[in-house]
Amino acid sequence: MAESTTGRRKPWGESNPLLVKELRGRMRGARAFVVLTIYLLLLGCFVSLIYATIVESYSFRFPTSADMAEVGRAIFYAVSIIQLFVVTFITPAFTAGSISGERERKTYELLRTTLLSARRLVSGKLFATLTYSLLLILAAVPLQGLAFMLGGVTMEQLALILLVLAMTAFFFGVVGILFSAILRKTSTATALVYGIALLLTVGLPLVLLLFTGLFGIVLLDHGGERIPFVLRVILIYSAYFIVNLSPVGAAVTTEMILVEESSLWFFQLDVWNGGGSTFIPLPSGWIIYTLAYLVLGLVLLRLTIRQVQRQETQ
Amino acid sequence: MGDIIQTKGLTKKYGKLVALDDLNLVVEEGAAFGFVGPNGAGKTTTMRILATLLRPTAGEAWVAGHSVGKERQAVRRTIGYMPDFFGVYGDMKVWEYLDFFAACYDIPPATRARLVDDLLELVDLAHRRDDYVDALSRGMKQRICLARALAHDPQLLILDEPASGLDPRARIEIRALLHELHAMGKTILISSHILSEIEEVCTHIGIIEAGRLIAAGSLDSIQEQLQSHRTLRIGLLNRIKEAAEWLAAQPEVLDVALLTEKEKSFLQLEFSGDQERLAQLLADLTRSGFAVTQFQETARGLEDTFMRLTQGIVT
Repeated sequence: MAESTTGRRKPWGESNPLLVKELRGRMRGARAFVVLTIYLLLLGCFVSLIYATIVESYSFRFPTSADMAEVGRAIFYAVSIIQLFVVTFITPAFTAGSISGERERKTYELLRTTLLSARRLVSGKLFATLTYSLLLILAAVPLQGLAFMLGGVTMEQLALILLVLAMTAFFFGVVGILFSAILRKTSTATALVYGIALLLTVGLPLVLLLFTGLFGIVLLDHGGERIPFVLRVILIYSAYFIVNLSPVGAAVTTEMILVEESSLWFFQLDVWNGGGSTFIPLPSGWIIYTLAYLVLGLVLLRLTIRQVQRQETQ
Repeated sequence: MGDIIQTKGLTKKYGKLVALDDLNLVVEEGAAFGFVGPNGAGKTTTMRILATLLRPTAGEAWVAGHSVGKERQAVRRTIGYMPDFFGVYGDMKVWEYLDFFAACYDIPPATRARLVDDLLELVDLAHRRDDYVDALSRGMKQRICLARALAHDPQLLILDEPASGLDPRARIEIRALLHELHAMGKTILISSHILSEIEEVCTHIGIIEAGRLIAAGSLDSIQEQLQSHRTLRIGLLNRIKEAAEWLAAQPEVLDVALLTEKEKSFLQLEFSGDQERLAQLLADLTRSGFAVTQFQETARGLEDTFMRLTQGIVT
């Protein structure tokens, strides 16, 4: 509920006409439904292919429940990774044009002379896009549910991936709308937000993989004795934090901890301290990812609103 | 009636370029005020400042007593703004477009449906209610944009070149609409390059050049101020040459010419006296036994006034 200018409480949708307008525009006509249908068909074909390929490999014997659990896990991982990329690249594609597009269409000034505040403008644009992204995420839940039925995937895993996907949509949606508010051209805003999305989803894991390959053993085992223990712990925490800023990195670390340590929350990392082993606690990847993206997203959202307010007073 | 617009020392600079230079403008409530000036004179800059879209470099402006810089929301409630170039949401239906903007002005849903119908009636687009905005002609889009600016029943309409790029029919329709809005009690601040249009619609004008206000006031008063002498047209039943000689002998008559138009002869007189002396001249003329059939002051058009005042300076 939101407070109206007359002091009357009114429903959120009513308090933000831009949200209603954007949703109506996005869902109008066949386009939204065609996109959704094609997306689900492709995802369904992909899942069928994975299922057929793995089951085929058991053709010499009757698959056991453990085999089926493996199929379920494979389907779950595949659908999750595809959804992660879809959400990462589709959400900012919509938001990157949300404010710059208004300027390009010469409708921005008409909006600015109404009573619509910068906060309502930005939140209306953002949540309309997030709603569509959420629709894409939820529409694929039955396919992930198939993995759940086959076994090997827990309810917690399903809930966690939905949380990670939602947070990804939120963060990249905010990054898109921030660039859209700062830059005049939608094309420049889109290129920049895609650059950041690529950096976080692909670039960061690659850099970290290289870093781990080069220094991992040095930091954890006897080879790192020349580096003070405290410094090594700081380096480990820093590297672990950075790796979990990537949606792919966070998904992988969460899954590893879940499978190997059977924990959703924390695990203990064994680090050589010169005289023996010290166990340092590390939170599961999803915790770092969702917290970091939530805080960063909220900060960037505030920056976007301030940017729009600043433009109002130029 | 009070002043609905007041600016004091309004100045806007873009780097070294001075778009507005110490503009002091007053517009009375209920006036239809035509803002006239060459391209780049500062008309749009003034209107954008009044519409809360631009901050002045110096000076202050008030709309209905609200400071444009400090009470933006109050100003936005008071004005309906239509920019010179604007876009529309082509994927919306006509009624949705108006409903959306009405909602942006916090008009409750219960009253919006009726309001949208009334606005469509006013701009004569009720028959296009369920069409997409993109399907409207340019003139219709102009009218729907004007209806949008009226959604919250503003006291003041700020219209920047509302008839630019329209065909003659659409111009006439917009003009009729402006007359109707003025009759409804709206104060209108309108800029236009088409001076004849301003002359037809407006009760007051302000002439701006190079960011400075050169003249402002009612149309008649401005023309009055500018006239160093009057041009009179005098028709007579007979003795026209005698009358010409008699008039030429009068002290404030600068020149007399005998002209013929459509086989009718008349005298054209350049007279330097004021209204009282003019009345005296007519009385003396008839007292001298001349049968006067026409005694008319030739009105100077706004174009003439504009050309006399401006020098074609562009910032």
